[in-house]
Amino acid sequence: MTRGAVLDPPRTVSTRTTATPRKRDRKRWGLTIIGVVVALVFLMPYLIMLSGAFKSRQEIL
Amino acid sequence: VLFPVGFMIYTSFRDLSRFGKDRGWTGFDNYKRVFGLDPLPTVLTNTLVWTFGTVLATVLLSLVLAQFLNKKFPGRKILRMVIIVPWAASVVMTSTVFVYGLDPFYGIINKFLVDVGILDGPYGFLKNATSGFLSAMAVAVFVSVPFTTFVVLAGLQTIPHDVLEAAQIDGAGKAATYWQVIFPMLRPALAVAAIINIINVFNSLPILKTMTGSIPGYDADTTTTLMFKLIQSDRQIDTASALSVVNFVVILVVIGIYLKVVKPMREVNA
Repeated sequence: MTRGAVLDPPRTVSTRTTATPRKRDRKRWGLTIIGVVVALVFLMPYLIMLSGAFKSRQEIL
Repeated sequence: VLFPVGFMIYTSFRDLSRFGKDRGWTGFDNYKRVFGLDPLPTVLTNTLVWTFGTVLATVLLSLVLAQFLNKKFPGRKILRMVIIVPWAASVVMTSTVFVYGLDPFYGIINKFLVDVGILDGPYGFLKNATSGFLSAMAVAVFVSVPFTTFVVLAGLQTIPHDVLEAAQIDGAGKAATYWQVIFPMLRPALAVAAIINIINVFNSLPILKTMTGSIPGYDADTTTTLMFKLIQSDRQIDTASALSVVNFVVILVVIGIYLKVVKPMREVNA
């Protein structure tokens, strides 16, 4: 069967190396950290509001 | 759907008292009063800046955020849910949090900006028209980004994986793949996002009312808040009706120009 060989792209086209599983994992967790920062930005006003909701008027003023 | 629009147009040609009593046909007098309003040039400029500034910033941020949310990483589902919050929450509530946060005496945002050295001392963001207007625009972007991001994300997910694979095999880099393959295929999603955003932002009242409503004069007003002031403060119901019709025509023209110039629904040539 030569069909697969015909469809396979020539090796010279892409010079990009594939990441090792450990490298890929590290990159994914890096994205998670960015995600946490993004989530905090989007939740900030509501977290401020929530923290205020548990305080007495005297504590806020 | 047609009744409120028809009634608005009908009212704009009537002479209405301060209490809403119909005193008969008045021709184009209400329109003449609208175009004779002193603050109209400022208000129209503000409306343009408000609409295009907010929509442009929203779309750009959403493109970046949607691209990020399309990647696979642990916690992606939770982040997608978290990002909806500003869109799902009440706009008045969100704006009010920012009003208190920006307060020069006890606002947490003001204190943070002073603590990190961005400001020398507390600044009254909502005490003058320009900074108040820009702050309101920032909040408008903040509440508009979630919806736009999800529309763009939906667009990203419709792009077939084999097209991206073909680009990669052809030797296209990340930037070339994005600008020459992904971005053209996002056009319909971007069109929907942009049109809905233009309509929403153009007609938006609560953010400006909450954040810049206490600033005297019309320097931080758009046509929508001006309309509200005409009804609420000046009790000019008929003039406000004429301004509503003008507003309606302006938004139709803006969307028409957008569709004509950008041609967002044009077929993508493979």
